[in-house]
Amino acid sequence: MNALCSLTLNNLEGALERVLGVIRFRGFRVVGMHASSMRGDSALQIQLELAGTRSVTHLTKHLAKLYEVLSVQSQGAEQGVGGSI
Amino acid sequence: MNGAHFVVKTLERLGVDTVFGYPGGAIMPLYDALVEARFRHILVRHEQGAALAADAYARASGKVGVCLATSGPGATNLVTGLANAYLDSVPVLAITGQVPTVLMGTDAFQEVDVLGITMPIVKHSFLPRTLEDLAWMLPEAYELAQNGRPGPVVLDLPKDLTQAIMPDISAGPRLVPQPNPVHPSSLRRAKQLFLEAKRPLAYIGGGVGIAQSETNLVNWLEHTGLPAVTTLKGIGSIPGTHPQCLGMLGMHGTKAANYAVQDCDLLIALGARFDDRATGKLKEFAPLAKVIHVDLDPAEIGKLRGAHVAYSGSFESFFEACSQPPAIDAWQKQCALWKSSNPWRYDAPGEGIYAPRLLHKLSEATRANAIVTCDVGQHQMWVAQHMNFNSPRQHLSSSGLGTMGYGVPAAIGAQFAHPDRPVICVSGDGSFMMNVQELATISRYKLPIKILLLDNQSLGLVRQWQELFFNGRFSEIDLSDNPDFVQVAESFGIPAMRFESADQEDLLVDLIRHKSGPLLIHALIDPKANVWPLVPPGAANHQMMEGVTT
Repeated sequence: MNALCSLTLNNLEGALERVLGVIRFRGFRVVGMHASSMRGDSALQIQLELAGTRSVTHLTKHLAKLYEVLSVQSQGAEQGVGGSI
Repeated sequence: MNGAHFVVKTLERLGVDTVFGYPGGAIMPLYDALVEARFRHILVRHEQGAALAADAYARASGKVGVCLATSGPGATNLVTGLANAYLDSVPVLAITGQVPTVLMGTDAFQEVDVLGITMPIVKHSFLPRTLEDLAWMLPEAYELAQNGRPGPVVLDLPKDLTQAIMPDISAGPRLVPQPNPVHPSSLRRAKQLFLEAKRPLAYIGGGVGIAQSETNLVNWLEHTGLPAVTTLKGIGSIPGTHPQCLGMLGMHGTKAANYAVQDCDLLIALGARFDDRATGKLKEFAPLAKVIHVDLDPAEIGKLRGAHVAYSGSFESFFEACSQPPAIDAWQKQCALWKSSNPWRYDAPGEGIYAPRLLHKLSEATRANAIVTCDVGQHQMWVAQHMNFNSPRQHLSSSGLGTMGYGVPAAIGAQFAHPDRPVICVSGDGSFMMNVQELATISRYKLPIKILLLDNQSLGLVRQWQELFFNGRFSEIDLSDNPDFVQVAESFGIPAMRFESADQEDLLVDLIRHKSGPLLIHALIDPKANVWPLVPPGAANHQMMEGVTT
């Protein structure tokens, strides 16, 4: 079951690595990704396509807790409509 | 002022009074600056001891625990302690030395990727590359550790930054805690469920103590008359002797607590996270109950059990919304009956020391005033079952990670947090050996810690599981070749005594209460003693096994 996840990050050292680590630990695989810099290169905007059977809502809540994450929105069949935090 | 002095001055400004650590190459400039520090540094004998002592210092004091280590092995030795703090939501700031920035990424001597290694087990990790970074990252790291849901934060500090002259840099704005938005509609729905319930039950986790809401919790419970169960970390949030407290739920919980959970029609989870040790078979946990889940961390809501009402505001606002006492006389009587008809039994046959009885006597004698640290294993569960606590800051136990070796360094941290209070470490012969080197720290600082070492000459909880669930095929649990623990303690300058018979239990308790200075009590217990009751793996909580007391 695939889900879409859009994040805006403060591009601090290790920010992307940290996001990907949470995604792996919470039971998802990245199957597609697009990233672009914002505000010079101080922020990153990322769109991820994720595969996994766990709750994407739960993943979204964990991503939202990360220090670098400015916003996160996700959409997956599991939750029907997009959730945003 | 160089970067190292800036770190020391900043920690002073933040109110730090104690740090635990161990020096080494990359962090030497900071240790040089420590010579003039206005806070004390406690030299441990292994970095894991520093992290675990800082963890316990934080739990016992309510402040941020701080630990220091050098790069490479110093930092990796912190890892278990950081994971311990992460899983139990303890505010710890770990400052690690790092090789100079010019050498980073070159596999330099004692270089490892501390930022990468610690990433999954910290709330956040900072790696300043410039002095400007350091100026804002250090205070930010300290605030972040205690802000919101607490947790460990790492500051990995390159050596050249600590040696460079610090320009006059403003530290920048401090982190301002952002409270979760409060949803009045959640409170309205909670109130409705609360008033409709016939069998409501409070399920108290560690979050209540973290929020320092235990007094308000008890007031609310007494006002509404709700019975309550606690998790391992929730112990002490309601005094264990309180008539409405049914005890700990879960794998080694009380019968009253587990029966109440299974039969309740409204479960009010307060700062609890539906941990598998608490729930047993999740699908059969509180099967009749609607759930109100109150937790500061939205990520805990619905993680394992869906909530009919989720609320991420303060406990106090929830208590206020649900303050009208429900009509639950029959339920209160049923819970009281479960409790009175399933008391702990201390009439074990045999002439040996019976650990549950000994711990109960110790609890009675100290009037639940002592701070008790535990290691991990059977003795940890016996402490949870048979000792009473009046505050969650008195019962320091590695709950989430289950870190063998926590007890002794935790006692050190707790004693520094409360120099005038009795601190007792209850350990087992397996766990004790994992951080035995910290006896040197107890001895060096003349800490009056009492260690009660319950020795069953085996890895007792593993042995119990092998006996019950692996057809008695015992594999690598024999510790009968333990060293002479009395001699070990004495070699560190700590008085020690050995006891082995039931008629010595009162004397032993008396020694722990009244002897001045540090003391190790080596208590030999039955190697075949098990922890009862026990919810077997895959079973629901009401399907408890009960063994024979030997």
